Amino acid sequence: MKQAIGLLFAVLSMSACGQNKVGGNKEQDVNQPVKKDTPLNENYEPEVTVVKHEELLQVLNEQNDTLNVVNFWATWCVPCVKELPHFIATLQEMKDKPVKLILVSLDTRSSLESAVIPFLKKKNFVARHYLLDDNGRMNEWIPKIDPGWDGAIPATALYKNGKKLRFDQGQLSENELKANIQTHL
Amino acid sequence: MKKLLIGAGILSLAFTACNDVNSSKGKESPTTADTTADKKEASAPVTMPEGYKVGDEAMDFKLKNIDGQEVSLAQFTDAKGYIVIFTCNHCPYAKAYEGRIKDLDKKYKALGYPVIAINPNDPALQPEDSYEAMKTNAQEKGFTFPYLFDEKQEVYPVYGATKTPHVYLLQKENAKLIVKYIGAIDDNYEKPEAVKAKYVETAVDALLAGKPVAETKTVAVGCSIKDKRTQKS
Repeated sequence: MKQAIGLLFAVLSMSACGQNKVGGNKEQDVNQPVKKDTPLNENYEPEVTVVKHEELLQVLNEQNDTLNVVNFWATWCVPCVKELPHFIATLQEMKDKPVKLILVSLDTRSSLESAVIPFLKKKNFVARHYLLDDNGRMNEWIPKIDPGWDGAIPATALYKNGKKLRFDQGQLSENELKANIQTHL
Repeated sequence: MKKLLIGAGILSLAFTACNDVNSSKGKESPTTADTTADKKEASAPVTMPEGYKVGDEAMDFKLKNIDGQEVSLAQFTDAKGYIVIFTCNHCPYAKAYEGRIKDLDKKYKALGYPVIAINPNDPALQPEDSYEAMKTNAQEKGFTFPYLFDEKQEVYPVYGATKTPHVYLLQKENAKLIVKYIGAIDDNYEKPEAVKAKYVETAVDALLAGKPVAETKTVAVGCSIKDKRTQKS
């Protein structure tokens, strides 16, 4: 079972790399700015990995010296959709720094093809995308992300090397987001 | 009573803070804090009160129902308690639970625990949650319970609701309203047929049996309550 999870993790990491079109290993990823990958790609084909919370926690546990900005959102969530452009713009501004955006959609699995992917494509929201398809175990995984989170979205967590450095429930302004990232870079 | 006073105190503090955001003189000149202009500009972040914990005494309220009548909990003289649910029209989670909220009311009203639904959202931010839309929604879905409008957004912060749906199960104890459970209705909004734990039902059943509630707090994803005071540009 453990092996299976490990394998899954490897597959996930690989697909994540493929998605970002970043060749090579994670260390290179940190030291060399991403050159090819700009969010201004009009033909962006978002890849969204559907996960259970165990797999998501493994992604958040990556030991790669990168600050992962993890935003929980949904296509129908007005404040989420409102703040996402700040996240995309801020991360684009900081693309030479070891910080990455992970967007975790809480839309249903059944709306992935009909709503989530078309939305990300239309908005050109380049990030590592996951859809957390674990609606029967919210009471289990929400406290694992943060004990103080009662489930309202949007919510944003900052992780580095598996350690959660910050958690915010509710909308973040662009300045707040920047300040939070700067503090933990 | 103490809790109630503290709650009301915190609430008024939060509101004062809200009105004072743009003016440090606010405290010295309270008359200006109430002007419309000040209120409009007071959209900067404010710290909301923490809200109730299980075991706290909850306050009663008087809010307008969809039939135009003011409703307060004290009116339900025969009730042993209340299933207070902050919910709304627009939110997919709230929508998914409408049928189950009706079922709760159907089952527990007769047993002394009626459902009291409250829409806490500001329609200026979420037009689908307007008072008129509440009426239409309740009629279309055949709501059997009061569907109240927290128009001034004064009740939900005192309770500490942050999202829809958000349940507060209250029990009358020595003429006080004691919070017995806070959280979700059950463990699967998306697939009612896959629900394993019916949190609210289990909690009310325990109260009816005179037993303590085993699981007093749960969390689930919900739509954040729409309030200008917590909104960011």
